[in-house]
Amino acid sequence: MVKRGGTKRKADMRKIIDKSSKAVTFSKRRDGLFSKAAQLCVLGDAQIAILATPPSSNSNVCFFSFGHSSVDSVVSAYLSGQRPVPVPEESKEMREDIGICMARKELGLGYWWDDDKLASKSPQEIMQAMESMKILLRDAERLLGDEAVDFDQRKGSLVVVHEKNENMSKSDNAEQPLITTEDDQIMSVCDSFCNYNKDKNAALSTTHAGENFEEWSDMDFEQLLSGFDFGNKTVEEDDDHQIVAVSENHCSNNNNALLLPAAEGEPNDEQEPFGFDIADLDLDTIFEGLSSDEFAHSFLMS
Amino acid sequence: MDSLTSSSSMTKKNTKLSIRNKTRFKNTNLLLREKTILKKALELSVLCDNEICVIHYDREGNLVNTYPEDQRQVKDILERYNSLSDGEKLKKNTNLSQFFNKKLVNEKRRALTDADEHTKFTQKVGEFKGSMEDKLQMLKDMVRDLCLFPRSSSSDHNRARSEPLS
Repeated sequence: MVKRGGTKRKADMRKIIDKSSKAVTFSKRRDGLFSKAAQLCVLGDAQIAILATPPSSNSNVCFFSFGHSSVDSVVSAYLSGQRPVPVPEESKEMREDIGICMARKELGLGYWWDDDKLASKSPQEIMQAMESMKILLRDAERLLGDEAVDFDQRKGSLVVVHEKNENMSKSDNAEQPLITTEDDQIMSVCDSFCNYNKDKNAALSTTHAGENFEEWSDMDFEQLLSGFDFGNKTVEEDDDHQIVAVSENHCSNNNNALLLPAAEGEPNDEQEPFGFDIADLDLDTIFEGLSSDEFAHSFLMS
Repeated sequence: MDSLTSSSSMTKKNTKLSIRNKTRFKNTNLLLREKTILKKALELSVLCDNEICVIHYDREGNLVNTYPEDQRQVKDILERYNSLSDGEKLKKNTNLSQFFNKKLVNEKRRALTDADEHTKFTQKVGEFKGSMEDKLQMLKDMVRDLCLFPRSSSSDHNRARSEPLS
């Protein structure tokens, strides 16, 4: 929308007569206005609603609207004289929204993952953050691809545009579903090792109804923890069984070596409580395909 | 051990000054932006001879200002808006997320046809992706370290697990 060549002129502040000029000016300035409002919402945590009637008399739409958090929430707040319901400064949806993340960066706010606070979070939270980042990464890949993309509002993500069907779901796309057995292993290993306190776990886990990516983390953590009773030998076997059961869903010869039961590990080695050296695991492959429906299903199937 | 609160208070102490300065800058910046939104709304309504309504609340929930300033006029427009069906309201409606993502989609579309746009866009997204990948790697290592060298309360856990397992 930016013209090149220094053709900017100060607009004459009078009603535009020419219908097409009026229409063009309207859509440009409306976008500009919405843009300014959106920036304010991001920079100042403002809640704004904008309503604009169309410039032409014969239009099938009554109002062009912009609203954060939504037009209705701001409008009803105004009409009732009360404060609008506050918007959380950071939320999972916002962290996984590539549009918002990039806009924040452009406004000078930086990327949320660069925040120092992330370093001191619990492993579970770190892994949740990684999950969110995986989702962003997928969207970024789509943006860098050769095909046009569209934003699917229902899914809240970018999808590649195909000629036949514009709103293809994410799973239809040629994604690399690198759900290796290592993924399952490392997740359950780290998870079981780092989550002692069920209460703490419950307090920290987020709940988002109806979102396919987020739910798995709550469910599989709870699943793995449910059998845990520290100091009990059989518990560890359960853990391994779960690992084996999950990984049986995937065929991968390389990974069989890692499925050693705990009994074969070094008994007195405090650094390797799970019977294999975690450092040997290829964490790059492990984390490559972290987020997808397949991942969630494989965990649930155990 | 509540690592969350202790670390966040630590962060606050360390960046006390910069937060204050940031706030000062932010305040004048925000005031300016609030003004320009009203100005732009006015310009739009004059040039296009249509009705515009802007309602702005700050982060605390206080009403900052409206356009037009007259409360009756605002209410008038809002009543008309409310009389619409939900379907009608959703036509041509956007929120923050949709707005920014639509913008990205359009940038992408232009990048597919224009070389300059393509360079700019690829650079922007590339930087985004690169920063994330770097951090992801860091976090992977962090998680791995945490598993290998668990923190305080895990010492009992270690003792239990190091018993002969065969």
